[in-house]
Amino acid sequence: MESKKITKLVVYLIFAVLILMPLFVIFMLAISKTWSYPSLWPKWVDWGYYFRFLFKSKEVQSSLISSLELAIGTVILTIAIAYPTAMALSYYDFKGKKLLNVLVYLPLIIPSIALLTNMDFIMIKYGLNGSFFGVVSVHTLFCLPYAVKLLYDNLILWKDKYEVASRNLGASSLQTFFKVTVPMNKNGLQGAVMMTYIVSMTQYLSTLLIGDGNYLTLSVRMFPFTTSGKYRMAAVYGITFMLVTLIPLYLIDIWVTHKGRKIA
Amino acid sequence: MHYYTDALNNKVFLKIFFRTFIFALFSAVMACFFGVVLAFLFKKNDNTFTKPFFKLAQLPVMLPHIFIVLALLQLLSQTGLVSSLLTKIGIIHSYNSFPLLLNDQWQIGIILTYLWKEVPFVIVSLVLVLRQMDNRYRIVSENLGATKWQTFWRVSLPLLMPAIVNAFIINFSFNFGAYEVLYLLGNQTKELLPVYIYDLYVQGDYTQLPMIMSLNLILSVFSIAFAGIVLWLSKHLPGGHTGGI
Repeated sequence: MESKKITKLVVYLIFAVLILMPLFVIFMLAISKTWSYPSLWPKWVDWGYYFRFLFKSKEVQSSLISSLELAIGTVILTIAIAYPTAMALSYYDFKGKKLLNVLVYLPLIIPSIALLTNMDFIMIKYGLNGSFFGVVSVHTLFCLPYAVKLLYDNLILWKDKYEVASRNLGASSLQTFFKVTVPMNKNGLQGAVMMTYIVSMTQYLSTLLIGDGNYLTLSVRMFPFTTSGKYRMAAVYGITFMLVTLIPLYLIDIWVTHKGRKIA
Repeated sequence: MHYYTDALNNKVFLKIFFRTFIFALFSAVMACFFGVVLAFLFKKNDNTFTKPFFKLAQLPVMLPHIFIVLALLQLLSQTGLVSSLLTKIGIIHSYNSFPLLLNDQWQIGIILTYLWKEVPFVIVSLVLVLRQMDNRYRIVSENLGATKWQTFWRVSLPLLMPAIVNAFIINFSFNFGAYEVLYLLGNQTKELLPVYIYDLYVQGDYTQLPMIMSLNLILSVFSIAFAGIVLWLSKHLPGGHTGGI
C-alpha cells in the first residue's frame, strides 16, 4: 500500500511540473529583460516592469477591452440560445430530437478550418465580416456544444418535475424559470458561462478571419510577437490573459459555492 | 461536380490528407490513453492528491494553445532552456547537437502542445463522470471474484466508454482541423491540412473558391463519418471498447 502511495506522489509531481513549468516560464519571460541562450536564468528581473507596462501600453488595454467585449457578447448570445435548446432536449420528446442532439455537436466535429473558411465566405456575402455581431456569432458557434452539453447534463437530473409543480401552484412561466429552473440548474449554468467565456477568449483564427483585424484580442496579439521571436511581449499578453481568465473564474467559483451554502 | 473529382485526384491533397489523419489519430489516442490512466490513478475522493490534481488539470483547459507554444519555444528550441541546461551539465556540447524538436519533420512540437492541452481535457471530462459513477458495480464485481484488472476492463472501462469516446472525437476533430498551432510549430516540408487550406483560401484567387469549398465539404463529411464510425465501434465491439479481449 505504501509503494502505491509513493507511485501516486511521483506521478502527481511529474504531472504538476509538466503543467506548471510552461506557466512559470511565461511568467519569468514577462518580468525579465535578457533571457537568451545560453543563460539558464534571466540576467535582469524587474517585478514592476509588467505592471508599469500594463498601465502604460494602449495596445494591451485596447486588446483587453476587445477581448472582454467579445467574451461578454458571446456569453449572452450563447446562453440565450443554449438554455432553451438544453431545456427542450432534456424535458420533451419530439420528432427530430436525435437529429438535434447530433447537430449540436457538429461544430466540434467538423474541422474548424473548413468551418471558418466557409463562415468567412458567408459573412462577406452578408456584409457581416468585421462586425461585432459577426465575430460574436462565430464564437457562439464554437461555444454552443459545450454550453448545451453542460446545461443538458444538469437539467436532465430533475427533468421538469419541479417546473410542473411550480406552474401547478400558480407561478407564471417567468417566475418558474427564474425562481425554480435557474436556481436548481446553477451548477450547469455556471459551467456553461465559464466554458463559453474561456472558449471565446481563446479563439484566434475565427477572431482574426471574421473580424477582419478589427478585433485584436489578447490571444490574437500574442501571435505576431511569437512568430517574430519577441517572446517577452507575447508573455506580457499571456500574463494579462491569465489575469482576466483565471482570477474571475476563481472568484465566480468561490461566490457560487458560497451562495449555494446559504440556500442549502 | 468536377471539383470533387479533381480534389480526390489531387495527389498533393491526398498525401497531406493522409498525413494529417495519421497525425490527428495518433495524438488523440495518446491524449486519451494518458488521460484515462491519470484519471483512474486519482479518482478516489479520499486520496490527498485528488483535489489539487483536479484543480491543476483544469488549468490547461482554460489557457489558449499559444500559451504552451510560447513556453515550448523558450524551453525546447535548439537555443532554448533545456538545451542550455544540457550544455551546462555537459551532456551535449553545443546547441547544434540538441535534437530539433520544434518545426520538425515528425511534428513532435505540435503533438506535445496538443497533449498538454488534451490530456487535462480528458481528465476533467472523465473525473466528472467518475464522481457520479456508482461504486457498487465495482464492489459487486470484486465480491464475485473478479481480479482488479478484470474489474477495470469489464466494469469500469465500459461504464466510462461514452465519456472517453466523446473526448476522443472532440480531440481528433480538433487535431484534424485546427490551424494555429500547426502554423506556429509546423514543418514547411511536411505541411498539414489546415495550413494547406488556409494558404489556399488566403492566397488563392476567387477562381479557386469552389475548389476550397469542395475540399472543405470533403473534410467535413469525412470527419462526421469518422465520428460516426468511432461511435458505432464503441457500441458494437464486444465489451464495448476498442481493442477488447
